[in-house]
Amino acid sequence: MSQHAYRFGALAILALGAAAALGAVQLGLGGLSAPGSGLWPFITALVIIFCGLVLIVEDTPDDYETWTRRSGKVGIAFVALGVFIPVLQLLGIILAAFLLLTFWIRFLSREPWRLTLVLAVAGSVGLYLVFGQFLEVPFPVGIIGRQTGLEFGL
Amino acid sequence: MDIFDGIATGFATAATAQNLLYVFIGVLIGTVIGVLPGLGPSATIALLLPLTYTLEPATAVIMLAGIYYGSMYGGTITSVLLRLPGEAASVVTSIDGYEMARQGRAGAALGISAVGSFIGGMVAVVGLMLLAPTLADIAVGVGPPEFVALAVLGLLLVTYLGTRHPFKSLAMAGIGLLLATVGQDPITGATRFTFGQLSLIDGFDFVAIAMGLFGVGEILHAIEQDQAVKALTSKVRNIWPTRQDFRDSAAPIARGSVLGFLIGVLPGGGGVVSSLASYGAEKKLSRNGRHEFGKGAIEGVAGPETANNASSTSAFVPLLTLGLPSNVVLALIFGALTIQGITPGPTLIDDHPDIFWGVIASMVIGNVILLILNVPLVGVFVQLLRVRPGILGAFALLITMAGVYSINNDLNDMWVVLGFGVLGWLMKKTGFEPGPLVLAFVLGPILEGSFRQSMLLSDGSLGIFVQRPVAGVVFGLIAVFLVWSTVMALRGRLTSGAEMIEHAAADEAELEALRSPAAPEQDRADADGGGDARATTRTTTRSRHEEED
Repeated sequence: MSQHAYRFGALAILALGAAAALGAVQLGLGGLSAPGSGLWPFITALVIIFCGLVLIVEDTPDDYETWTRRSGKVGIAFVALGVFIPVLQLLGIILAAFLLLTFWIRFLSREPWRLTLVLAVAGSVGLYLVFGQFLEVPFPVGIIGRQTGLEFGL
Repeated sequence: MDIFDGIATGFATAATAQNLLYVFIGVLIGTVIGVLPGLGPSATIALLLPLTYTLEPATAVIMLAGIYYGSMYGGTITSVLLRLPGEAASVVTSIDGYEMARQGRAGAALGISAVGSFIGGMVAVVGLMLLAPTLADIAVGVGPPEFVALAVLGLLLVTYLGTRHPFKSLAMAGIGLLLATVGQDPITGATRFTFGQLSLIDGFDFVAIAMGLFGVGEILHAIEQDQAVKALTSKVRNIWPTRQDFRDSAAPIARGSVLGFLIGVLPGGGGVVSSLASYGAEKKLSRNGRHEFGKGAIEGVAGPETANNASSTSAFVPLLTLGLPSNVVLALIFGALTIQGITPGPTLIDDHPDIFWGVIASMVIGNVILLILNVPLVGVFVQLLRVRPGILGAFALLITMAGVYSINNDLNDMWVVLGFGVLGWLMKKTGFEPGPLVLAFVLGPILEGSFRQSMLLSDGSLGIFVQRPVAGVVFGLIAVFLVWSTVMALRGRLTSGAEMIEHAAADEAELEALRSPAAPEQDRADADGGGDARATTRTTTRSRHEEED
């Protein structure tokens, strides 16, 4: 079965097109002389369905990239970004950025520790200076900032 | 306002301290990302969209345009030195440019590219100044059916020329059009596809889609690729070309300027198509030339490099006069303008002369800066190649996240962009290009509005699209194009970007030089006429390098 997994792409397109067409009909198609809200979405849905049908017949597996260990890395990178958002609320932009950069450069890119720390410090402080100070973006204030009253990106 | 007043206004706008700073920042970023692996002009422009909120509209477009044509210069550097096209429009340059580098003439190749790009850019700016006001005058009289025709033609050409799988791209374009309908119906006010979500009433946020699908998606995809760094083997010396080089390149540069300008004006035009066309033309004309193409002919570097820069400048013509973006990069710039509450269109030249003429004038300044940057500083930019994609990705994503937050100071926006980012990465992995989706998302409201107006005008008769002369001719072209491509598809000879490169190559050896073990990957790189998918090209070329080493 796995050699047919790529066909899922075409089926997803087809399903999306069909759902959109149904939704468009419910919105009311009207007529060509008095187009309803659903007419244009219906036309685009037809294009999508048409492409889905063509793809079922003629799509080939060769432009689907295979899943490798590196794909897993992307998954980890994504989770790290997801963790970054609540950490930003908790610790402020500088520490959150520092942790993200450290994790990323050291563990995903496997750079040496010294380079990692230099880049992470420079990157997180630089980010705060550009966004927090120069562009005056009000980042959430973290625990340290609230406790100490030093709200400079902490 | 006549042209001379306009030019004066333009330089008055472009020469303010702030705009000079931003044109410099733009071309510098453009050159840098042209060199760097993993980031193309469309991803970069998408990532920087939030920063343009705080800028004046003219300043924002001046900077974004600088990134676009700056990347055309920067992409050449890696093509010549490493045979890794930094962006898709430089793919053909790597044929003869790299050969020249192997013969110790890397300096001459880079020098003539910079000079050619400069001349091409200047010719295109002058053409833009002369042509655009006239076109804008005509465009005021262009009716809804013509807009439908031009938008459909542009979408079809971008989906077709850009990618190896036209139906996948067309499906993406359809989804882009569909996403654009989410929210309130502009005419009746009915809500469409919002599923009861209040936040969707205004529709999907363009910035979230662009940043997620392009920016985050492309970076995630680059992280996945091989991270080996190719060591530089050829030294750059004597950057200024010899008198003989100039003599050999003069005609290709002249032809490249004109060809690039004309192709750039067409819907779907822009970088890649023009450099391929120029390479093909130069090769045909060079039969009796002094140099053999594929063996380090300077003509094969000068022509395409001139053409890609000329076309990336003239691609602004349809945007500034009709309000129709002709490729994905220009769709992003269109988005940047609408964020500012300005809808590009035929009246832009009268309503916002500072934007119209300021952007054009800034291109003159930007090209001068690029020439100055590129000739003496090539060595500095080359050092950027030592930046590993992983590190670059970390910084780019962090800046993206901060940028997203800065739009509304809302953490939820970060989640939205992250979500679209994963979608963009999955799309790249499965061969569904995000480019057509974003372009269609921008064109969607224009297309729907024009279509419904046309139907009201004609009282529901589709005949309006064929009876009006301009719309009729464009739809005729579309029909011919569809029939031709269907016939070719049925005969199994679909011409995609990869095959255009094959046609451009003279013989097997040259073709090998362009191909890699995963040859079909090559043409994905031109999805946007500016190379948003170049990470793929880089990686495949790179793996071939490693085999050679």
